[in-house]
Amino acid sequence: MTALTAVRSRATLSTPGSVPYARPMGAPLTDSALMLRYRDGDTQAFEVLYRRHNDALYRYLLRLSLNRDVAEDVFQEVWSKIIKARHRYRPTAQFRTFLFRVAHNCFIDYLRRNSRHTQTSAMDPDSRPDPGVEPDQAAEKSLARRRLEAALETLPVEQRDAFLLHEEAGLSIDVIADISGVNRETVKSRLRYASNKLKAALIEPAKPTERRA
Amino acid sequence: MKKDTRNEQLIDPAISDHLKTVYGETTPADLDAAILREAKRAVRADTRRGAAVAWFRPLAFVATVALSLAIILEFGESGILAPAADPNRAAPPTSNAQPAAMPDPASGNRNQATLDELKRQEKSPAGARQPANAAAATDAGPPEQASRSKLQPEQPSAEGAGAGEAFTVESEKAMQRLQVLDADRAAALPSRAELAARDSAPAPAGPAASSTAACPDAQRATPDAWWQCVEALRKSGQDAAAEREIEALRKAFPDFELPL
Repeated sequence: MTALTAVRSRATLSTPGSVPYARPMGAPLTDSALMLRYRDGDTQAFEVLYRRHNDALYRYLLRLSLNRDVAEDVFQEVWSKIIKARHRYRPTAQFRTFLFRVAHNCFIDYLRRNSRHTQTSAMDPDSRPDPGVEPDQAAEKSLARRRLEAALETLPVEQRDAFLLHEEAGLSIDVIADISGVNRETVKSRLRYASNKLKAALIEPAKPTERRA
Repeated sequence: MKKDTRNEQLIDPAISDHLKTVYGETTPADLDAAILREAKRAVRADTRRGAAVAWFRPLAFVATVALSLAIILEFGESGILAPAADPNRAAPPTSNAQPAAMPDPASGNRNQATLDELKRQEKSPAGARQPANAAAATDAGPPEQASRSKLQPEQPSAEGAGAGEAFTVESEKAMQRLQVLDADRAAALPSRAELAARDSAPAPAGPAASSTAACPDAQRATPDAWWQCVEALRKSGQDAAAEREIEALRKAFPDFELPL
């Protein structure tokens, strides 16, 4: 890939856990630049873009839907829409914002289409053991994961959505408000409620549960 | 993790850490492969579509040009685009045009008789015109000759240039009257069946039966009834027909005082 002039994006480079890109001669391409290159026919640019955001998006949809099959369906639908809309893409906002807005809308559409969406957790965390993790740690992790899922299940979908957009997507309050179609204060109150509930479910009861494990 | 730096920490950091520790899930490999395949397929489809579209534009342009030429040639050959040969034909008949005289009231066809007269007059020398009646004092030469005079303005006149100009003016007037007659005759076409029936019956003594009359013959029998018909025509807005009926009424019953 030839080095093109690009603006370094804090959102792109500061996401923790993201694959550290080797710093080539030029700065890495921004998400918008990659999307525009894909629009012009560069499939490798799309792959780079995809690899940057796929895991965060997947986890967002997984936690939001609490159902692996639903998460995968919506995940595929989101990327299909982005692929089809590539000719209309205009870099008016950050690509991440655009991506999670599409994901949020797709999930809402899914809920409307399937009004009897059950929020029972159809995820089997034990089926995907984390590579390179000791069995004891894996068991502990599995337990913690189940607790988190149970705690997330107790949250209303709006609070869960705001929480995940904040934590998984790393979006700001204003962007979350824009995506959700509510005002800033509503988002803040949702995040506070979500945080309190999760804290009560995860941190405080964790000690007695760990003793049992 | 991105925090809203402008506000207090909305999410407890312990929860964020817990989230990161517990969840490290990644997208399934088969899902990744499916989406990347779809992305490549979309670009390939674009390329194919682009190649097809690349031909469409020049092809569409050529087709448009060919169609336009074909239309122009077709209309040119059929003469639709050619200039009118006889400018007199384009002159629309005026609504106030008075019908020609009825040279032979007994003929049952006023217009046809007038045309016959005009044709007879065509054979007479230019300038020597006999108007059919007082109302048609502006009658001019035969329309065919008038049209010919229009096309050939240098046609020599027996009485010199002055008479030739007068002849031209008169011929124009005759042409206009002929157009009026043609319009009247065209309007009277549906009633030809009535004419045939009327011809077989004996002609009425009073006003002549007319195929182009707006008033029925029954009302034309008496002047009062005829006048009522004229008034009805006026009320319905058929002023031209009313004028024609008045003219005919005057000729048929010259002693009848029109209540105007």
